[in-house]
Order: sequence, then C-alpha cells, then structure tokens
Amino acid sequence: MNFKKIFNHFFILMALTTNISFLIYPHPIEIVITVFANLTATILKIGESRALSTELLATSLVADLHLIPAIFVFFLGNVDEAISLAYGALAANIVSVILFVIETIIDTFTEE
Amino acid sequence: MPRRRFKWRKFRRRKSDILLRRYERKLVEALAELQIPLLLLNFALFVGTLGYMYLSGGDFINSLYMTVITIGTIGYGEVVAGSDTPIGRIFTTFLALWGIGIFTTSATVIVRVFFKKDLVAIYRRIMMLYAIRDLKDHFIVTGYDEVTRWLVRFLERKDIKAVVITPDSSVEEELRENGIDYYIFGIPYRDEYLYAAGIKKAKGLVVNSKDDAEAIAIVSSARLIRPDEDFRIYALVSNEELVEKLYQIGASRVVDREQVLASRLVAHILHPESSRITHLFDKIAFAEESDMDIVELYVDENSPYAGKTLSEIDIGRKYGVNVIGIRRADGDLEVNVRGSTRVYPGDVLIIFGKEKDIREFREKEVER
Repeated sequence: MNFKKIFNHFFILMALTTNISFLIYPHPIEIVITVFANLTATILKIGESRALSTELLATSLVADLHLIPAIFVFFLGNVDEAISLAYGALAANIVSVILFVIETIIDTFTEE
Repeated sequence: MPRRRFKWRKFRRRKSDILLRRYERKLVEALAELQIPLLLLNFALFVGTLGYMYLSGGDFINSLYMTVITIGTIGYGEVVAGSDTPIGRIFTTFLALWGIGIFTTSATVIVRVFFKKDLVAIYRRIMMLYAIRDLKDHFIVTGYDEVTRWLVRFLERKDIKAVVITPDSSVEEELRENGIDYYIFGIPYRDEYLYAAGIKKAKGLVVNSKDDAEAIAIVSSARLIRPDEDFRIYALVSNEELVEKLYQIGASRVVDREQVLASRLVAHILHPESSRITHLFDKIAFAEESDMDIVELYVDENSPYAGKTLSEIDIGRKYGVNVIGIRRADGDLEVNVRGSTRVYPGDVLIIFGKEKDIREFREKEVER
C-alpha cells in the first residue's frame, strides 16, 4: 500500500467533493475547507514526475486561481460571483480527476 | 471480420532528450522538497483562520489577517473579534507556539531550496539543451581549452554554431565570458552527451582531448552513432602513434598539434621575403580574418564542366572566381592553368575568389 498515493488521491478527490458541497450549500466554512483542500492538492502535485503530472498541476492551479478570488469575493458580500468562480474551479477539478484516472491507468500498464 | 487488437506500448523517448529529461527530473526533485514546508504552512493558515472564524462568528478576512500576523511574528494586536477573550488568547498562544516554528522552518527550507539546489543553474541548462535541440549543421567540440576557444571563434565568424562538451562545470563563467553560447557539462564519449549535443543533426565533431584513451573513445562512440561519411570527425592529438589508430576507427582527419604548429612556423621561416603572401595564404587556408576563400570542386562524369576548357566554362566572368589549379585524377597537381586547359571527369578544380563570389558560385553551380 502506497501511503503517498493514498494521500495524493485523497486530496484530489477532496478538492472536487468540497467544491461540489460548497456549490450545493454556499456556507463560509465550506469555502474555507474547499480552498484548503485545493491548495493541498496543488502542493502535493509540485515535484511529481509521473506521466501526466504537468497537466495535473496545471489544472490544480486553474482551480486555485478561481477559488482564491472566490473566497474574498464571497466574504466581501458578492455570493453569486463567488459561486460562478467556484463553478469554474469545479470544471478544473473534474478535468483533474479525469487526468488522474488516466494517469493511474498509464502507471498500471507501464509498471508491468 | 477480423478483430483489431490494440497493444499497449511503452512510449519511446528520443535519445537526444535523455539528458534533458535528467535535468528536468533534477528540477522536479528540487521542487519536491518544497512540498512539506508548503503543506505545513497551508495547514497552519487553515487551522488559524478556521479557529478565529469560529471565535469571531465568521469574519474570514480579519481571521486570515490575524493568523498571518501571529505565525509571521508581526503581532499587530488582537484585531479579530473574540481573540481578546480567554479562549481566544489560549488559541492564539498555541497557534503562535507551533505556527511560528512552522513559518520560520518553511521560510528557511524554501530559501535553501532556491539557493543551495541552484534551481537557476538547472533551469539555465534545460533551456540550453532546448536551444541545442534546434541546431542543425553545427559542430560539436569536445574538451575545453585555448584551442577550443579559438576554434569556436573561427567557426562563429563563418556563421557555424558549435556545441562544446566538457566534463569541467567550473568553467561555465569562462565559457560565457568567451562568447561560447552552447555548452554541455558531461563526459564527451558517453552517448547521452553526444546525443544531447545534437550529433544526429551535426555536420561534424572536433575531438580536442589530451587523453589518448578518451580521444579513441570519443571517435569510436561518435562514429558508431553517425557512420555516414557526411559526418566529419576531426581529431587533434599530441601523440603521433595515435594518428593511425584514430583513422582506423573512423576519424576523417587527424591533426598532430605539434606538427601543425611546426609546419606553419616553417612556412614563415622558409619564405621570409614573401611574408605578406605567406600570411595571406595562411589566412585563406585557415579561414581567418579574410574575405577570400579557396574551395575544391570535384568534376564527375555528369558534370557540365567535364570535357570543356576553362575558357568555355568561364566561371571567372560569370562569378568573379578563378581556377588556380587542377588536381588530376591520377594525383598530379597542375598549377599552370590557362583558358585552353581542358577539364576531365575525376579532376578536382581548385577555385579561389572572394567569399561572397564563392558562395554565389556554390549556390548556382554546385548545389543546384
């Protein structure tokens, strides 16, 4: 069992799920957790040298660059704008999850 | 209908990219060291912000600000509501105790990664390898010394790019000061360095090594990668016994450095009264600061010159270049050439003229 992999994959999925939960119920604590999960997922992708690491890092950075303005906009009172930014981050997170599934498949075949 | 079978194949990477990938891996490994400090910093900010948000009833911006000034040892005061209560102060105490440690450790690690690992140098080498990848018809020079410096300078004057491979990375500053734009630090006889220097697209290789065994290894490695005659390998040696061996393993031309120096010096000693002419021919032959050039043109059976006299060919009037000699197929050198001298298949014409006229002649008559 590779604990680093578990940790990485946990945060990639966590970034997506917390984002969805914020969109369903836009609560202040939800958006803080979403930003934390997304930033953690990004940091975990720095320094990875697997097949699609560059693409994964790029998608994570896109999500972060949507969510960081979203959190400030949200607490400054513009909830609609924050939600629309969070939808952008959601798209990036979905791409990120798809890429990570593809990478897992590639890894499985190349490790043989 | 037969079913198509799909096979999973490992993606094959270009050999010229092996070194590039190695440097990229080094960069990635150096960046990986940032993971733990950044994770800890992110965690401290998250816990601090969430804690103050709980105390203040959801004031995110002031909570984040309070966390940053606490773990960053700025301490402007208790700016968020609820932080001046006993529970708030207990929270700030514990946040400061471990948060300050995390902040200072993270800052130290980040600075160390950027400076100690020399990320800038690794990045510069990656960019250099990408630039070398775009080169074509260039020369590779192995070893770095005075000879290499002159060689690269002379080649640059003729717009020929050169990539220097040297194992000594301490000369990087010197290389840049001397205007050498392309260089790789590595063992020149190892394939990955030759591939990285673009041997597959290069015009030739100059082996400038004082170590006999290394010179043999470089010539044989290069010839194995590029067995074609178009790829010229020039070796500069100090050991006379090595000359024949290098020819046998594929060198196109082996130059004994001491012999060359002596023969050049003898030319000046033997022609003291015509030193200007000796000097001019010297400059032309060695492609030094001169706009004159001398080239050889092989006349084969299909050449339009075969069977014609020099006055019929008349390249002097068309291009401003002159035939100053003909090496006949049997090896005889004819220097007393006139308009009535006839050219035969197998001859080599020795043509002299201004560099730009020679270039025009080559473009229109030779490379057409």
